[in-house]
Amino acid sequence: MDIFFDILSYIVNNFILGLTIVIFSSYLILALISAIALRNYLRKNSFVDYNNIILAPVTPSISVIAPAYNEEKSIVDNIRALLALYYNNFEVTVVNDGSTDNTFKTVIEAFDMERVNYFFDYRIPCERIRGVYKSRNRSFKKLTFIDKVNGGKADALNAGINISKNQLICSIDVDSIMEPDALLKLVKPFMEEGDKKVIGTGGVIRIANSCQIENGQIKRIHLPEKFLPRVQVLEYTRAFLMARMAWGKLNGLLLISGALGMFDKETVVKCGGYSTSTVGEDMELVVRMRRYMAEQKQKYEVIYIPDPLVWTEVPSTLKVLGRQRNRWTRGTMETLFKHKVLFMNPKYGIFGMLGYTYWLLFEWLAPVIEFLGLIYFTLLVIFDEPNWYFFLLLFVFVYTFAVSLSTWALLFEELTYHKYEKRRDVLKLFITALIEPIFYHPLTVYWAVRGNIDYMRGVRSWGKMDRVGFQRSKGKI
Amino acid sequence: MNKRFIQLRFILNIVLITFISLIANLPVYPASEKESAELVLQRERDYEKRIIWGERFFSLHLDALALKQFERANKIKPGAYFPQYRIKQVTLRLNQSQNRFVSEFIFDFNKPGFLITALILVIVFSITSMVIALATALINRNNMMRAEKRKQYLLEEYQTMLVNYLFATEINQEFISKIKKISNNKFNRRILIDQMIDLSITLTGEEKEKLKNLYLLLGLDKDSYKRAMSRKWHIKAKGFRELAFMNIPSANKEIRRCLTSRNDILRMEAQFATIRLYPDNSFEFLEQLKKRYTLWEQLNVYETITFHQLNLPDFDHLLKSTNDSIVMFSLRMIRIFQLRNTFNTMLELLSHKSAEIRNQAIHVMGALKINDCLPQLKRIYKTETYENCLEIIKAIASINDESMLGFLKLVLDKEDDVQLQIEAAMAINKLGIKGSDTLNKLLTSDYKNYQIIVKHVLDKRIN
Amino acid sequence: MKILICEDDTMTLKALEHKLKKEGYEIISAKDGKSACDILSEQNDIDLLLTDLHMPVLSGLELISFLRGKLQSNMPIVMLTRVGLEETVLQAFELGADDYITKPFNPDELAIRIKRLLLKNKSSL
Repeated sequence: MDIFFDILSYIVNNFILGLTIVIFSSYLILALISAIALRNYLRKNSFVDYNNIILAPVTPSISVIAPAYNEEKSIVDNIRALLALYYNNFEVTVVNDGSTDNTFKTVIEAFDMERVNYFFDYRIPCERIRGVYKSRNRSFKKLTFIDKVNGGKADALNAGINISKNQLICSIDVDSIMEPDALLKLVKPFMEEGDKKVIGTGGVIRIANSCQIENGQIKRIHLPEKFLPRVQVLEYTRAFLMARMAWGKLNGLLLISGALGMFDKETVVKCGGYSTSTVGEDMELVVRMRRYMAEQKQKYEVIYIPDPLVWTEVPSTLKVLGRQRNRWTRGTMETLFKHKVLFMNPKYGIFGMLGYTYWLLFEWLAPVIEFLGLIYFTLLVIFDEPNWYFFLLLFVFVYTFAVSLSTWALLFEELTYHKYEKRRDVLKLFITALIEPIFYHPLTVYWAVRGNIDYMRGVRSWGKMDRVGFQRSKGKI
Repeated sequence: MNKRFIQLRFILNIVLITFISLIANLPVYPASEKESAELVLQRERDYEKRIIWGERFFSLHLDALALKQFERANKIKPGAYFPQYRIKQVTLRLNQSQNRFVSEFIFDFNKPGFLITALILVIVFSITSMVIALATALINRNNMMRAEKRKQYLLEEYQTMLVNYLFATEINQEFISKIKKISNNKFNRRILIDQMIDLSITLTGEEKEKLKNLYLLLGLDKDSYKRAMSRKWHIKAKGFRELAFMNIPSANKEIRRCLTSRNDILRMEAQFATIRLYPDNSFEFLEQLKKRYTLWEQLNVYETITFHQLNLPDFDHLLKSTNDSIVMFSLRMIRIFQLRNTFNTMLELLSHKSAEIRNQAIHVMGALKINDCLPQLKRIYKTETYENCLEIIKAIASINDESMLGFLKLVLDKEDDVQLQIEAAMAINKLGIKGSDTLNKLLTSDYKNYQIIVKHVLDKRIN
Repeated sequence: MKILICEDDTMTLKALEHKLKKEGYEIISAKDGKSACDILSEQNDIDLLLTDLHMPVLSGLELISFLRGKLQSNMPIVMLTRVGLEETVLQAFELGADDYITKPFNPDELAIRIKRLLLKNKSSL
């Protein structure tokens, strides 16, 4: 027994240490790539006059698809905000996914809509569409309203894609707040398309908690007052400015958040649209599209824009946040296991070799391994005398590294978009970064582990019957 | 509050386990006399096991593991010679192997000398970089605010001065010296240049000339030239832009050179500058372009052409380019500028090998309402791709010629695709009375899905 | 004679203000459509509106429809627009704009157009 334990400890020690080194050095490398890519992007962007796009006679047409489920309170404001986006060639399609409240009636009345004889094909299978509505008022010409049988967010998006006649589709959460120029920024990479076909673009999601919101638009930006949303500000900044940016640069991006993303419609349709059998339909779609393009042997790109394009309310209680993270974990696992073939497969280029592996290792396995490490450590304490000095050192190392990474993310934000006005906010965020590894991080590990357990137990998705609605189901960052 | 506790139970559990384990590690009471004989035997067995395993690891060169076994054996029988001998040997081997088997030595917990140094180094590095990052963030905040203030002040000053200058009847020497005095450093001059360009965008005629004169008078063209010659691309491109706006040819050589640059932005700015600065053969670069000419570049060139009201290149000639993206660009421009005289060349494009180009050609002929292409469109319909068929129907709808009624009805009858049917019905609808008669007749027909299609087409709210 | 200028670019706004002041008009300026709306509904002694068509917050088109629709005013409206926006200009004329001028513009031409419109408006009263 003792010998077995010795060998185990030998392997585990080496494995954990090796993994730590791999993880931390890849964080450093990603941060470095991001920094370079960010600088280049900002420099290039200083030459761009986005007004040119609005004025141009040749712009791609876009359908903005916003699924809505039980949103009667805010939907009118949100639709108005969508209609006011800057772009010259777009329409807004709001899909009522069988709401059980007054969403349908509210929209019909507010925009003076009536049923039209709209004829379309179910090119992507989706639940039955009960009717397509248009406004009698010409000034809402851009708005289309679809009423359909409940089928979940992915299903609602598919219905919107079936109705759309435009070249590009832009999927959004109806309750998140778009920057007025979001469409312009998302469409630009499609216009810049060179030898590689651009199949999708995504941007940065920012946190709207505590911000002053008027008529569906951000009036004033504030740092969230509560601890939980504030810690998520750090999390999002790190994820978007440090990791996602680098993956975009490497063309290995696996995820365009469901809160806002733009896709080439034909490619989406050819791939079969959003999957209704997963809770992480946003990630699954991007992975499937990439797989499809690679298997068709076409050169393609998924492009990431570091500009903040959409603001969204994040969970501010442990319960809701825990549920969200649990779902993200399950969504990630579903996608990763569904597309096992990508793992270390040179056929899929950087996306398969690095992108997929990174997600497997960091997004799925890292929390699990961390948890196992913790268990191992406790066992070590029980059965053997651990090297306390060494473990203390290891802990300090992990802690300082995490805090310093967050601080660098803060600096990135400061040097690029500096959305928070006050100098105090920087300090507040720094203090949050000091606390995060101790209080917040263990929780995320716990939630991820719970997600794993739920996945093993077969809680695959919401299913159609027990769906709670997706108003809180913000896309994964 | 309660629920939060449930959430945190996990952590509490961990703390508890740690605590219990600490207790479990406390020394156990010594065994009684009776048991001691058995204990000695047990010890002997333990000792042998250690030695056996230690030897195994030793032969496998898993020195760290072997060391542990021998150390335990040494603990059991402190006086024994063999374990101590092996410990010495293994330690020696570990020390020697430091250079040869880096991996073994890094990952070895029992010999963590180097590892600990490395960890400490990383910790120190993390802390210093953290402090640097935080300080930079705060200092940058300060600088930004100060620069912003300074900029606001300068903007106010310069704007007033420029406007005064523009609409004054005579040039005031005092004014010149004043503006020169403010513009004594690079930062200020850059803001002035930006403002002048901003102003020159909105003005024409006499005032614009006046502005250019001021630009030259203040020697700002030298600044722009310097920037155009810079080694950094983003500064260079800005320089090109300024020179192009002010129409100063001093850096033309450099601009020409950058027409083939690999940097997208630099190449684009060089293109715009060329268009602006060489009014005669400004579009020559299009003929030499090997790369794909992106929609974004096309759009910006269009913008430059319309803005400065420049001469159009010979699109008829460019339609024959071997670079497909240039052909696309020409087609787009032909549509926007309504250049009907390129008709014959366009007709040839209907048999181009790229489907995308054929599609665009069909679209352009539709948009320009060229009746003469109808027979050709009808002829290629059968062999075209789905997307192009759709475009053909749309073009026919746009050209709107009654003679096509029969063809459209045929499409409606023969095709099963919804989109094609809708477009065909829409085209029929546009054909005036004859068309709407046809549709009304179809509305009563039970054949296929005519009723829904016609209803869709006639619904004015949809389209 | 009072003119309201609505234009989001400060440099252009300054140039316009200066030019028209020199011509002897009284100038009020607004930086976006929303504040122009507020000014228009508060003050009723404005004789002419000069507005850019592309502005943040509230576009020129919306401003025009607000003026003609909600305020029922028939004061002359001159639009400023960039080249290549003929469609928007047509829309604006439909909504009740009187004249337009494209950027880049010749300040003298602008002054003459405004003068003419004001004269015409006066004689029709």
